[in-house]
Amino acid sequence: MTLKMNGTMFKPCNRVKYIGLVIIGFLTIGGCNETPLLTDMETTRLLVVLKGTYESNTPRPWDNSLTPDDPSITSKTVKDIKISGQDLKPSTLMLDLAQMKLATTNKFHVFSPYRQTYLAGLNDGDPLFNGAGLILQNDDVPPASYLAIGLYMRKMLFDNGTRYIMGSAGWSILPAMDVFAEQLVPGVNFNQYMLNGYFDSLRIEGYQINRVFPITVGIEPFMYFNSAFPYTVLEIRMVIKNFIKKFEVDSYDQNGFFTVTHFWAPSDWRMPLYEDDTQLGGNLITTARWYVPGLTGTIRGTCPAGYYILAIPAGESITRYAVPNEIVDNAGNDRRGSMLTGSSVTAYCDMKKTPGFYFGSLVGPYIDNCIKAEQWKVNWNNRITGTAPCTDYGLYQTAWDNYVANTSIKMAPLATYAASTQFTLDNVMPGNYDIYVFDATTVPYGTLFTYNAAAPPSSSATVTVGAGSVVSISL
Amino acid sequence: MTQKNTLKLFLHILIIGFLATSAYAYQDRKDYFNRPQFGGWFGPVTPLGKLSDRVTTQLGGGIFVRYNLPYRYLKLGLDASYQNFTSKDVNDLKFVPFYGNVLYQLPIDFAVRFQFKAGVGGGWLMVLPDKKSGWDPIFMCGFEASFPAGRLVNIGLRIDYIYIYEGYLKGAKYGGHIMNMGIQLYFNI
Repeated sequence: MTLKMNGTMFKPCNRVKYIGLVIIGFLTIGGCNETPLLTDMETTRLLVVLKGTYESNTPRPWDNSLTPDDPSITSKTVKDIKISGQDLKPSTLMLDLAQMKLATTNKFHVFSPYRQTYLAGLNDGDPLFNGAGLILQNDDVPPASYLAIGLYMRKMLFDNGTRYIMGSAGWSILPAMDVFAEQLVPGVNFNQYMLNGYFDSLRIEGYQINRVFPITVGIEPFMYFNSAFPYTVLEIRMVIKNFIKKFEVDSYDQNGFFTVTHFWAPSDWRMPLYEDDTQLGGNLITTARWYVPGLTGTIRGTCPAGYYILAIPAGESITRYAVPNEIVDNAGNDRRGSMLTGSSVTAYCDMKKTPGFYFGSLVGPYIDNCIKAEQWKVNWNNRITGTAPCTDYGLYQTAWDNYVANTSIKMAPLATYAASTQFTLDNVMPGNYDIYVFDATTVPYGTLFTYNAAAPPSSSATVTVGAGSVVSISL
Repeated sequence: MTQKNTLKLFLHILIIGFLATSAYAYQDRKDYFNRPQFGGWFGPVTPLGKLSDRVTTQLGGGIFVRYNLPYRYLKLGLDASYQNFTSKDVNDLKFVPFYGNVLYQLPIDFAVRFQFKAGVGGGWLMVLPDKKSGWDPIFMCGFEASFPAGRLVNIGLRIDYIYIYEGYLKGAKYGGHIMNMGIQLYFNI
C-alpha cells in the first residue's frame, strides 16, 4: 500500500528511514570529548622568560657605589671628552624585539611574530633584574627538539647618554636623543654598535656576521617541547646587570662641528675597545635553558657569604665557563691585550683598526681624518719591528684565533649569588651537576669568572638532582 | 462545422492544452521541490572570533539530505561536511560537523525559494600537530535561497553559522564560531 503525501508517492518504511536518519543526526549532540580542544589551541604552554642577569635566581644586587666617571665603569674608548661630573649613569633599559624564532636541526620556526617593546628600570625590583624574569609574548611550537632561539632585537637603548658639540663658544652639552617605539626619547641605541666585533671584521666572511638580528642563543641542553606538559619554561639570560660601561663615539654634525657622544652599553669584557673603536659585537654573553615546572629539583646549602655558586653539567670543564686570568687578573687589571701575542708584556698583535676614508665635503673633518690615518701608520710601525713577536700575518692570525677560542665561553646554566651564608639554586632539571664557587671579589664590575690557567679549579661538589628532590650541600 | 471553425477549435484546444501543461508543470515544480532531496555544497568556511586568530579561512564542502514534513513548508534535513582550517601559527584544525536541522520555507509564491534553518548535532574536531581529537555538540542556524531549475535540479546559495560548544568541559574558556557559505546543487528524488 502506498501513501500519497504532498504529491509524493511514498511507502511507509521509506518515511521511517528518513526520520530515523534525522534522529541520528540530533542524537550526535552531547559530545564525547574530554579536553576542551579549542581552549587548548588558545593556551600557550611554552613560557619564554628573559632575564638580564648572569644568575638564574637570587642575583647579586646592583653595585651603586661607582660614579659615572669611575675607571671601572668607563671603557678605554673615552678619550676625547673627560669632563668630570657631566655624565649620568643609566636608569632605564629599553628593548625593542621584532620577533623570536626557535631552531631545530633543519628549520627555523617563527613562534613569536609579535613586536614587543619593554622598559626596564636598572634597579633590584625590576623583573628583568631581580631574578623573576620578563615574560615574553609567544605562541606554542610543534613538539620537537630545539637547539637555539633567535631574538631579533631591533633596538636596545640605555638612557642618560650625553652629547658634546663643539661650537664657536666651546662645548655644548645636551642629552643624547634617539628613537624608540616611534618616539624620540633620551637615550642611545647601543644595539647598532653590537652588529659585529673587531675580530669578526678580520675574517673573510666578516661582512656576513650579524650578532644582533638575531641574537642567537644556544639552548643547553637542547629543549624538547611536548605539549603534554602543562607548561615548559624557556629561560633566556643575557648579562647586563653589573655589566654596563660608558663608551665614546665621535662624529661631525651637518655643519662640520665635531661631536662626541657618551653612551652606555654592555661591558667590552671580551673584545677590547680603544679610542675611536665602535665594534662592540661579541660582548653580549647569553644562555638559554629550559625546565618543566613540577619536574624540577632544588639545590641548597651553606657557603661563605659573598660568593657566586655555579652548577654546570657534571664532567664538563670549568674552563668552558670562565676565562683565563691572563685577561683579567685578580687585581682587576685588564690584561686582554697580553693574550694577543704569546707575550705577557705588550699586545703586539692588537693592532688598531684603520680610520677609513672621509667621503664628505667639509675641510675640518677631512683634515682630522688625515691626521688619524698618519697616527695609525705610526702605531703600526711601532708594533711591527724587526724583532717584535707579531711580524707576519701568520702570527697575527694565530694570535687572534687563540684569543677568540679562549674567550668563547658559555654561561653556567645555573648560578646564584649568596649574600649570606646560605644559597639556593631553583628549578633544577634532573641530572648530575658539578658545583663551583667563586669569590665575588674576584669578579670585579664588568668582568666575568676567571681561572688560573696553570691550575684550573676543581668542583666543590657533585650532586644528583631528581624531580621534586631537594639536595643539601655544604661548600 | 466549416473547415475554418474546425481549425479555430483545434487552435483553441492546442492553446488551452499548452496553457494547461504550463499550469500543470508549475504545479509540478512546486510539488517536486517538496520531494525528498539530496545534494552537496562547497564554498569558503570561515573561523570567527578567537578561532580566527589561530586558523585561516579555507574552502570546504558537504552533502545533505532533506525530507518534507506533513506541513508543506517544513523540512527535516541532515547535513555533513568536511572543513580543514590551516594554521596562522602552530595548530591546524579539522572539523567535520554532522547535524540535523529543521528548514522553514517562506510561504511566498516566487521562483526563488527562501528557507531558514536551525539545528543541532555534533562535530568532530582534530587539532594538529598534537593529533588531539574529539566530538563536541554544535548548534547551527542559516539561510538558503534556491532556484528550482526544472523538475529534478535545484541550485542555491547558503550561509550557515555553526557554534561549537565546549562549556560542559572542565577548563574550557571558549567555544568556536564558524561561518559556512557556499553554492549548492541538489536533486529532488
